[in-house]
Amino acid sequence: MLLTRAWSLVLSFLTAAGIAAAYLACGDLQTRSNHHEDVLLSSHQWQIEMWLNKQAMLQIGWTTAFATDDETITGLRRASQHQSKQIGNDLMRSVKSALRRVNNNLEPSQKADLVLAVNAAGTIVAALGVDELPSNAALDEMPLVRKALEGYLRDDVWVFGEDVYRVAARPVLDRGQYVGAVVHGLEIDDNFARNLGEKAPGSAVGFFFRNRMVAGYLPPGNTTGTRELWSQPLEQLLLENESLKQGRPTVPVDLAGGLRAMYQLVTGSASFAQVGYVVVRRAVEPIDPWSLLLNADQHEVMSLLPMVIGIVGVGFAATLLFMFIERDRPLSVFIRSTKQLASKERDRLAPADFNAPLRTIAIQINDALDQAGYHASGDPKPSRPADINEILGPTLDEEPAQPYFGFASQVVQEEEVPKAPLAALEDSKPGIAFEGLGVPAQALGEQKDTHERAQPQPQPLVPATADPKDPPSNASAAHPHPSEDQFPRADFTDGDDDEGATMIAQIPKELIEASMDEEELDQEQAHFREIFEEFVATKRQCGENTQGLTFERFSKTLEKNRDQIKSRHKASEVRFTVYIKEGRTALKATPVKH
Amino acid sequence: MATPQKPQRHQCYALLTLGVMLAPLLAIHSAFAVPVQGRLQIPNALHQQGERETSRRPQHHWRLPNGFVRGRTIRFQPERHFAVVLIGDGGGESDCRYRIQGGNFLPTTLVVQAGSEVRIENTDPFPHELFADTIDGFSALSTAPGNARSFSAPNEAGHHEIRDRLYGHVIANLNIVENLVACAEVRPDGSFQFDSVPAGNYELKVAYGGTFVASRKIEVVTGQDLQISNPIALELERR
Repeated sequence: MLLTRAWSLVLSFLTAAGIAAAYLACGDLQTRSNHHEDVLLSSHQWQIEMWLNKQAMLQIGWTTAFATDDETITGLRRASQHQSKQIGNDLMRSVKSALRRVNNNLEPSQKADLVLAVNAAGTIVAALGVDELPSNAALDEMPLVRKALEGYLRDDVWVFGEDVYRVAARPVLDRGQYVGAVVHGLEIDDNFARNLGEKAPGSAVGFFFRNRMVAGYLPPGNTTGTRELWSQPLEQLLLENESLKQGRPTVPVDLAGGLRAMYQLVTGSASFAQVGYVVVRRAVEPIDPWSLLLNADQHEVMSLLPMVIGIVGVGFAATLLFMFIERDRPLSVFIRSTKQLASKERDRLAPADFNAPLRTIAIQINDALDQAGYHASGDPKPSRPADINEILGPTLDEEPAQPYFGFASQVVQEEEVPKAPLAALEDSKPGIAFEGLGVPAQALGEQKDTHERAQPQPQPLVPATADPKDPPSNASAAHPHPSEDQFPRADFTDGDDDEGATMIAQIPKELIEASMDEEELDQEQAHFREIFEEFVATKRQCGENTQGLTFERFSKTLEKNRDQIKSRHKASEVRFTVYIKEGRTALKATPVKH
Repeated sequence: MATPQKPQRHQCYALLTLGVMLAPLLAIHSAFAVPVQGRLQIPNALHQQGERETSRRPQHHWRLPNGFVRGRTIRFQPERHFAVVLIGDGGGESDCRYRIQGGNFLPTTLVVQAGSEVRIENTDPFPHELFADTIDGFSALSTAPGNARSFSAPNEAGHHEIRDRLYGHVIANLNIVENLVACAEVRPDGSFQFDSVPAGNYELKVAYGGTFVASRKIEVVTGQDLQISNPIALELERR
């Protein structure tokens, strides 16, 4: 299941990477969106400033209607002749009437909320929008009026009573003489704010006088909070904000309710009284992948749908493929084998045909079959020579033309080991007990071979009752060896991956040798020598190359495999025999228990 | 609950008697007080004053010539900027009047007796919020049109600035002095007059802004109007 697991890992990694990328993208999008909103907010603040500038000029123009009205001019000329004297009530009423008439004739958007007419000395002659005028009230020291009396057109912002006015003034001329000035005032109220706010779509505009809002405009949708929210930071900003003190707008300020605002004092003398305006926009909502998906444009989603479906399909198909390769197909083989077993087309399963879990099951089934058979016959526990292929699984060397010697995995690391063919252990010596016969390969050794692996090939089932005298016909297929100069390698992999690979636990050689007395060693060496000679002779008989095959390397290999088999099967001795398998020389090992 | 006691009849009689006795004395005193007149020599430089910037923000979007007639310069108004006072022994009580008119203090230079109660009238058609950072208890309060703002002048001689929290251009220089006798009414032509000055030796001082720019010793003789012959030259610092 290596592929499937690797694929799962890849999918998990891709999923994690995708989620991480989505959050990173959202974070980046959030940053960019916030920046964009701030730029937009700053842009709208600038637009408001520009519109205030433009409207100031327009308002200066609207004063022309008053300054060119004959009745007003006449009244102011007469009033200017009384510079230090009390202006008569009749004259004041006359001028006031003229102002009202002119104001009524203006366009609705141009109508003044406050109109003041002063004589050349700055004394107020008439006023509209003022409840009560003190006698001899004057405005000559107000910078706006003073400049108008000096002959200039000017605008300003005044705090007049409790209200704030945007005012414009111009001199009144009569035959080349300055006879006074008129002041046109528009109260900064909600209507005034709306006219400005409509120039900055999506933004709210409010005017404040100190820490209270005096006017405001909320765009349609009402997503920009309330005036109370806008005014919350005013007190602190007016007290501490260096930008405002320097006459610059503040940076965007976070307000409660997810709003962003920029504050600026008005252009005009009322800035000294802390009159200003605020532009408010709704801040960007926190962006997360889910909200992004929910708020995505339907067309964009639909355009991406084929790609998403494709990726899911490919991923799913790959998963199915890997599961077929690694689970369904082996399972199918196993089921087919068990069916053959059930139909007695075969009497044992071939564990080597299966991957690790199924191989274990197959071995256990075989073992169970063996025990069931012997129980039925009343015989003691069966013993038979170990089939090296059954224990170790099928082996395959790099070149199939060479015989294979597959005792143990350790040999693959030994470069000096002599070349030897693989011998399948078969039940060659009836009557010799071997308890490890039915032990699953997995159980024989937990250590996994981490060394070089060879590609396994399914091997034919080796019947437990195969004739030992005819091992080639029933034994597992021998795996060719690439060269006789190389010693054969054992492989414990199951053919698909190394997951099910088994190895025989290695017992330290010193420990084993210490347990053997000298006589036994001599006998064993003699046995090895006998086997070696028989092996060489058989190879020559089969026409195989024996060049480079030395006893030392051969015996070394036998010793290692002997040790492993003894350890695995708890045998006291291992006997080797030479036989010919499919025209090639092979070795078989038989564990012997005394 | 205690009932407020009505003034006793004999107390009323005592006050009436005191008034009758003091009235002749006051009449005699007024009879011997004489007017004092003079003139200030106004430097031409003072006639050319620009607009004062009161905050970092621009004061206007537009300021354009009218396009028909050349602009003119409003004449310098001595009555709005100068304070001419008499200081001498026996001072401490004065009839000086301070007010806001035309959108600014009139005059913008105030000379007051140390420790006296100062009253500033608002004759403008809109409120002012006067305050002085350096005078205890003189915080910004709105003074409606027609009302007056009162405060106690500091006891020590010195200079303070009174401002308006609504209008940056509204500034008064408050000069605290000892032995203030009288304040003159300054006219647009630079002349001034003390209406009624008792006989005695005084020091005539002219204040402009936060400084005294002229001083002259005068002697007022009983029954003789005093006309200060030469215009009083002003020692103005380069402003």
